[in-house]
Amino acid sequence: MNRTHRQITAAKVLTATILIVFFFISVAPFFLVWSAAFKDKAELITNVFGLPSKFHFSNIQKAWVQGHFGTYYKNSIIVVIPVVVGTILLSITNAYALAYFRIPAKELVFGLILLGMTIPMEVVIIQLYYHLMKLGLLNTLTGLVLAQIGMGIPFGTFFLRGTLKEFPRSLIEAAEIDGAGTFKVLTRILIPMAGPAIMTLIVFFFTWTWNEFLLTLVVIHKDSLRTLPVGMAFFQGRYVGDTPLIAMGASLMTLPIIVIYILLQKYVISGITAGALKE
Amino acid sequence: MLYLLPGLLTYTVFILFPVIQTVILGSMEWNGMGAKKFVGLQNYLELFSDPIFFQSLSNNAVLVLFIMVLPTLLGLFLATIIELNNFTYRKLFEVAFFMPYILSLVVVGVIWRWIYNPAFGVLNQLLNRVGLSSLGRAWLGDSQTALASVGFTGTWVHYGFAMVIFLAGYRKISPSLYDAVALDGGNGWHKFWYVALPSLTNEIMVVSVYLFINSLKTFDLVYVMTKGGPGYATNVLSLYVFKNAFQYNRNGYAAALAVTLMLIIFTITLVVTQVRKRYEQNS
Repeated sequence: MNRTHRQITAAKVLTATILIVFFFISVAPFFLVWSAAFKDKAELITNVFGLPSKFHFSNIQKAWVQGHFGTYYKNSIIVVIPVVVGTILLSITNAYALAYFRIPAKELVFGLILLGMTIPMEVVIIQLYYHLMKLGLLNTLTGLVLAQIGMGIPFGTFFLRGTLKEFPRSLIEAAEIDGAGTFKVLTRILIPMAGPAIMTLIVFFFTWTWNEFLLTLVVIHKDSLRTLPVGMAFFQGRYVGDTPLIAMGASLMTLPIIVIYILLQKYVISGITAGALKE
Repeated sequence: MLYLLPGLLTYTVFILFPVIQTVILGSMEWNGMGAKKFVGLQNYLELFSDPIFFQSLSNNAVLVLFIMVLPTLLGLFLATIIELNNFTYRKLFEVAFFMPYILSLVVVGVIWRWIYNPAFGVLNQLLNRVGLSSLGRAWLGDSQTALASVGFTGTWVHYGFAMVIFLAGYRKISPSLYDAVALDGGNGWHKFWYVALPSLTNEIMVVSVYLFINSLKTFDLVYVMTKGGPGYATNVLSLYVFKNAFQYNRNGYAAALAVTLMLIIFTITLVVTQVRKRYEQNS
């Protein structure tokens, strides 16, 4: 071991200590909630910090059936799939048109779409409520899905337009000379090439939709149609004091997000940095 | 053109159209049922004499400290010590620090409500363990600590996000620049101050603006943790919009509040975009 190496080690020890402290701050609440989810009420009062002495797997069933988490789960899935698929399809066609075609007032259209990225949800919901009521879509999952697609289109269009613009034009021209129509160019050439960007968007839109709260709170009032976040908010009001059940609900609800994040974190992190820095 | 139609239509019908209606509603009085009455700028004038509006605005300002300033500084600090020490297990920390950010804020609020609970909460139990039980209190029920407690939860959510962006920024810096500093006898601090900080200006601006807007839009956390209470101690603008529109049936006033919030966000975005443009031209 030479001297410079040892010098670096001292700084590294300090760095490691700081990082480990923050590691605990970030991760401890997850650990506490997961272990609380399997305790009974009595044990949680005497033993907050340790693992459960006995795992109460019946909590899963209690949250799922009595706590209506089964219903909320079903609704969340019914909403998230069409939102992710719909937003991405409509964003791709938007991006394709805006990146490659001559369109009257193109700058204005793109500007209006970009505006959507900064419009806060608060401004939308006041009138969206009455708007959906008139269309007969208030208190329906269809209304919720359509509004969420509308909310996602600006970012999707912006993100994919940037991706498509980076592809060499010659590639498309070559395909056109071979007689490929615009639809073929889009589905056979551009979409496969945009694979990683689309993957990133899938993760984004899945997370956003899965976690969306304010919009759902306003649009859905029937308990049988609530998605997980709104269901959770009402659930904690109904079961005040039953922390294990609330913790179980929280664990069940976040499980898919955490699994997706750990499996696909390459796309999440690269997407977030690219998305934030490209603006 | 045909390709643009479906996407543009969905966006216009469900987002743009309601937004325009809200802007118009800002100059009306409407309880949601009867006839709308045009009142000009009256709703906006009322804002200036509404103490709850100013309280909410100042609460949002405190949240800017917790959700923008602290996470940005912490994120920059952590990214820097990881990068300059060439730390090996960085991936592990990157994943762990970022984890709170992907959670639903409702879940985050529920978890932290339990942590702050006065009777059996984690924080008070922890204080008891280390013999500081006198510091224990009803964190969210006490108007002295409620806002800071919500704010700290916001810091917990966002600092990892900031760190990840800064780490990505660090990756673009050429190592030869550090070597030049080392050659001139510079230490780690010099590397940070003369090389890293100027190179990260863009990232710092992006993170700050994004988190600034996030702090202004805070809703889920406050709704779940305190509903704006005790009193109006943690009331924020977007919660006040929600209450006016869906609880007090004052739609016109809610619209004026929402439009004000939107204008603040537009102004900030516009100013920063201009500053960035000028900055990019100079460098």
